[in-house]
Amino acid sequence: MLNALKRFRILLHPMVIFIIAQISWALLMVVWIRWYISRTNEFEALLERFGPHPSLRAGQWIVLLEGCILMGILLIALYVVFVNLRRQVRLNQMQDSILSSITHELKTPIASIRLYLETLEMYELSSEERGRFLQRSLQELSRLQSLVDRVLLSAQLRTTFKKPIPERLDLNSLLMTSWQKMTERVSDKRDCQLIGFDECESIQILGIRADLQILFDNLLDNAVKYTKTGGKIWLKIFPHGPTKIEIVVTDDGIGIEKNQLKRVFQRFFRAEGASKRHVTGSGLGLSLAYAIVKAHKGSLVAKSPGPEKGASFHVTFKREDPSS
Amino acid sequence: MLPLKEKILLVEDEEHLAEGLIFNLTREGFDIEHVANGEEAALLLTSRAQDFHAVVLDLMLPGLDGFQILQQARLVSRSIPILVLSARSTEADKVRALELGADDYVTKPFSLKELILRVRSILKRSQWIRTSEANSDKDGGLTFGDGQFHRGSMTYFRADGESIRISPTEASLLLIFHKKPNIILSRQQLLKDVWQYEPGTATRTVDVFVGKLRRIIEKSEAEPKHLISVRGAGYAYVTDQDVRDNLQSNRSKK
Repeated sequence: MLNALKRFRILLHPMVIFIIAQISWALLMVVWIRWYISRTNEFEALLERFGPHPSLRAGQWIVLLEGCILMGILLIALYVVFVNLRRQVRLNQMQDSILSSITHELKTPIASIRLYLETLEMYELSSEERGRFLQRSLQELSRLQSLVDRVLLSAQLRTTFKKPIPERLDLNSLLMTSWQKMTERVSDKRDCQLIGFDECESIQILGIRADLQILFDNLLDNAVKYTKTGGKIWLKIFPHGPTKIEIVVTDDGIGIEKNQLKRVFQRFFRAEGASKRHVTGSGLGLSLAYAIVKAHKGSLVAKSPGPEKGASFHVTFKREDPSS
Repeated sequence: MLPLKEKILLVEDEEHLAEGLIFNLTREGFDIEHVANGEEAALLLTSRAQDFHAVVLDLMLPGLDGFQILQQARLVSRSIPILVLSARSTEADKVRALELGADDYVTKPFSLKELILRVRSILKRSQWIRTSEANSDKDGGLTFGDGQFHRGSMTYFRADGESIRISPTEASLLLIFHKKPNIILSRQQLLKDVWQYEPGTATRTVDVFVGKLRRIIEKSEAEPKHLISVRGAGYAYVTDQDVRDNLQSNRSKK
């Protein structure tokens, strides 16, 4: 009985229903066309008995053609509905998974902050220990704030088109702030290098400070997440003449499949290797980075030689003339 | 000579959280060994489980996740107490972890005092096991359901001859029921007696573990004869036929 029920459940799978619908449609077409042609022939034979008459065939073929076109439209509609339904189901599953990740990302710093504050409350600690735990609490608070900002900004960029006033910003300063945050966390566990900064002084771009800070935080955070302990994270800066500047974040981590290079910027998308490695994170980082770059009229491209061969993210902005 | 400290394996990938936990648990007198990824944890548990008195295990880890580690650990050792400490707070996650062999589940963020209490609680159970195994000569079998429970070897021998090794928490629950037969024990009472939870804690932990015990002792889990649930009241371990008939007729009336 249970096995019979299980088999019945398989028949209710959307893919199975779609296939059955396709087969039914094809059979219906065949049956209808055959019926139509045979009825037409019978009708013609009947009319012949009553004497000569203009042929009805031309009109009947038009009717047949119209019927086939309408059935074809029905088939296309069925297919479109099915594809959209599957996409929606996948999106819902991804969103559930990402919501779970975001919850984890929010709860973890809160747990650390609570732990340190309760430790301060419970024990008599040396001033060095007190200082260290307060420092940790502040770092976790900063991490929590950063995540909340990312989630809110992601929602804001999708739902509204706000136009804050851009200002001239020192690019080096923005990059160094993000770089410092990242290296404080992982410099003892990753090979972190800056390239090209000595040659590029005083590069100015036009933008929103908070958004650009999130952009660079996200790109570096992404590199940390997908790179093993001992791996490399490099931040490079390349001027392209007097009008453009390119910033590149490179790692030697899990890499990206060729067919996923554009998809990594989709909201909630996770590279294939990420799920196998249980990489935590909201799945919003790169989509947010992409949206920020676009809002600043720049370009963001992902490159990777392949899985397990690292990846690089290339951001290009227009430079502002410092003398103007 | 100072007594040896109880050794806890802490599996946590969040650096700051791990630092805080190590500090506090060390202050509480434990010896902590820390790993930050799933593969290392699995390797330690499968090769050196006997070195640890307990495990505090996160679920979302790089490499193998906590659920996989639980499965692998329980293949090697049924007796090592494992407390799951995770930000995943859905009932499905808790039930899954308990079904896979966790003895307790604490969600993040957590109260430090409560965590320490829960760690001590699972260690107490572990200590009881080690003492039982040391006294195993003196301990005969205990009749429970249709079979026998041997405390020394932590093994339940079913009437059909099958022997099943049970965990310290399952054993603690079995003994509480054995001590108080034919009485309805509320979930809150069981939580307090076995897990030392505060009254008012809402949890399905008891249901999960009673379910596990039923699978061990009953012929049919769907129609239990010994561990009866009483809706709205709790569970009863029934040895008296009249009590059984009474409880079962009340269930069918409802």
